[in-house]
Amino acid sequence: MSEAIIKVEKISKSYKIGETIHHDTLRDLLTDSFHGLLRKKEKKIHDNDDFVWALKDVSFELKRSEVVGIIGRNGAGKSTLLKILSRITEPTKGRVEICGRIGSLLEVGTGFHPELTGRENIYMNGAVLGMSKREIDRKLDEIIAFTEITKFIDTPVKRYSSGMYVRLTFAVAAYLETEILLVDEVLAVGDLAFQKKCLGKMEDVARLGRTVIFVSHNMGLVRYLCEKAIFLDNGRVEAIGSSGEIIGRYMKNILSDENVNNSGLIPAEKKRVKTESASVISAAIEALDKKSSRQFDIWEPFKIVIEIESFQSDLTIIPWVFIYNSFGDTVLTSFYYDNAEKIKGNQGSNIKCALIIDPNFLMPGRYTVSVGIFGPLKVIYDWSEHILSFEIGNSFLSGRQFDGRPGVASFPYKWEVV
Amino acid sequence: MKRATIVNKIIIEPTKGWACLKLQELWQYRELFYFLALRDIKVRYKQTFLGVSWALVNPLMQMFVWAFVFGVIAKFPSAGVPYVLITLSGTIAWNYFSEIVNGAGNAMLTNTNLISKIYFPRLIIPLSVVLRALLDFVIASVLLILMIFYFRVQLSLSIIFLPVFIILITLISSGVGLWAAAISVKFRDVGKILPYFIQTIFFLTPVAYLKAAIPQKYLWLYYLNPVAGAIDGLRWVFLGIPFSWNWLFLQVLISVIIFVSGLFYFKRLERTFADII
Repeated sequence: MSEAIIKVEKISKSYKIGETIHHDTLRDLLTDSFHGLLRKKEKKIHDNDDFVWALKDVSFELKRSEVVGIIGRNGAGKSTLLKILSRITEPTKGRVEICGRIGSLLEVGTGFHPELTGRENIYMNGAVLGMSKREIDRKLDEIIAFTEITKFIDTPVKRYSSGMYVRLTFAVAAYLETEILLVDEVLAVGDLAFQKKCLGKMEDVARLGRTVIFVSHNMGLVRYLCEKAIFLDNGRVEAIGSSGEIIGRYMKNILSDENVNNSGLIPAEKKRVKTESASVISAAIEALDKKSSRQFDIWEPFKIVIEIESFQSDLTIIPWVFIYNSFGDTVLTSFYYDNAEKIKGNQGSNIKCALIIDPNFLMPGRYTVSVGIFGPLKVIYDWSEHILSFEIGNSFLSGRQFDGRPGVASFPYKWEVV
Repeated sequence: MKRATIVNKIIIEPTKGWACLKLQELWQYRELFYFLALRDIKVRYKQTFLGVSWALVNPLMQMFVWAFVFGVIAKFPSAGVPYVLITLSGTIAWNYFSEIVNGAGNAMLTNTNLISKIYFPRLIIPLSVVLRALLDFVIASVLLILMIFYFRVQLSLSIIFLPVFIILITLISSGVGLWAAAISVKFRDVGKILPYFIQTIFFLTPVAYLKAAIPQKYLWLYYLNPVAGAIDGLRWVFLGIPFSWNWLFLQVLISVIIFVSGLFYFKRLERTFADII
């Protein structure tokens, strides 16, 4: 079966600058049209500059049962591409042909309402995902069994724990039977068990001959799941090929100096997710003596400092940090609750917190850091990928040099005769 | 699954000009439409202390207040019908209208999550508001009919015209609602302005008074209001208060124009909703 199931031909998407941030009001319209009368000609000339291209001439073809990873930095156009493929938004130019139904795991939990019971939400979410009522009726028992919360299925979901909530949201998506599946990694931020379930399901899906498009920052996962990858950069297709090769190119690109800013402040276009709840305003890597640095030896501890601004009162904020090695594999993930209580944000308040990275643990090499914050139920408030980088040097405290041994982690080894 | 159409080809292209309505697609998504309306209804009745009886308590309260103000204090003409019946019939129709307009004007923003995450014909959102409001309308109408029996007002054969006026008021309400919904995505302050707009229309509409209270020289203006026409019609159907048929055609025409233009305007803006919401 070699016919193309998805044919993307030169699609482009432009946004008006500021369109996503600024919301028009009637008042603006009135004042603008008044000003517009005075300087109509002026505006015409600048018309072209008001647009940014989120995607530019993107073309590719996917065959049946291919599993393809889409990689690229924040703002490279990955989400826009998924949005166009799932028909949420229209391309400005170009054409896409898709044979079959498209399902997407972008919308896990969409349409859920806290006042409704688990059972009612299964129907609601199923309808949102494009299942017919009969289809849901038929699978209902299986879905409920999959959630492992049969006892609470007739309880309003507002009384659910976050774990129960996540299980319920994924259960519905897991029974979606479409020819094509779009998966965004945002959903995989959850706990490990949840991630495993997602991945297991994705493998099943691929084995059944369905096509999967997977957007992820976790190169290890992309390498593991996808035989093919597409590297997007600045809205263009930079490379398409076998996932191993493409990931290599991507990581080289990421680690090149101009791409990782270490100034601390996080520019808006670097953000993957942004909400009106809270935001990470800066992130920095500091030595314990508070000097900003990005070069440490194996024996040196350091910390990743995150500054958060809360826009709402009494907001639960959980910061997290991902560290990736130069192959793009996630070396470690830590959430604030790993050893501390939740942070409560108040309107306009700034919170600074730091994750201490113990010494003698990371192997020499270059690493990148992603930071983010989420709230209850793992709702992501803010997420910036590969925002910082640091390098672990070759020296141990004793002055001994690293000997190039293989491995991804290290610790103060203790050998003894027993 | 195994639907009738296993391999349906989807073409994604920029739409140009005034898009067609894609009514067939709307039909394919009828279940989502039903679930959305059902969700809103369930949630509302779960959240309020009074539950479903709220659909009765609200018009009853308004009925007494308006009957007291207009019938007892201001002594407006009542055409020999108990004033509470005048205000109740007006209130029921008015609530239907204002709920649709207000609901549709806010529904797009409350469903931002859905719009920015999945594809479906966006028309479903304002239309599900209509379905929700219709349920309240039906519940309250039962109350009206009980009251009519209580006051021993004779129902006549004119009751067969009831659907005509329900269609008329549904048409004008959804027309204005569609405009409100589309504009609310583009301009965020619409939600705040809407209540004032509805308030103004309220006093221009014979909710708490009869047409007989309007001075002759302003009557032509009164007749331009399709909501007024629908309320007059309902009062004729239920209470036998005379109705001017001459103006019905114009009122229907205005409603159709507002509805169809609202439909196309909404469709026109629809493709940008996910980008600007």
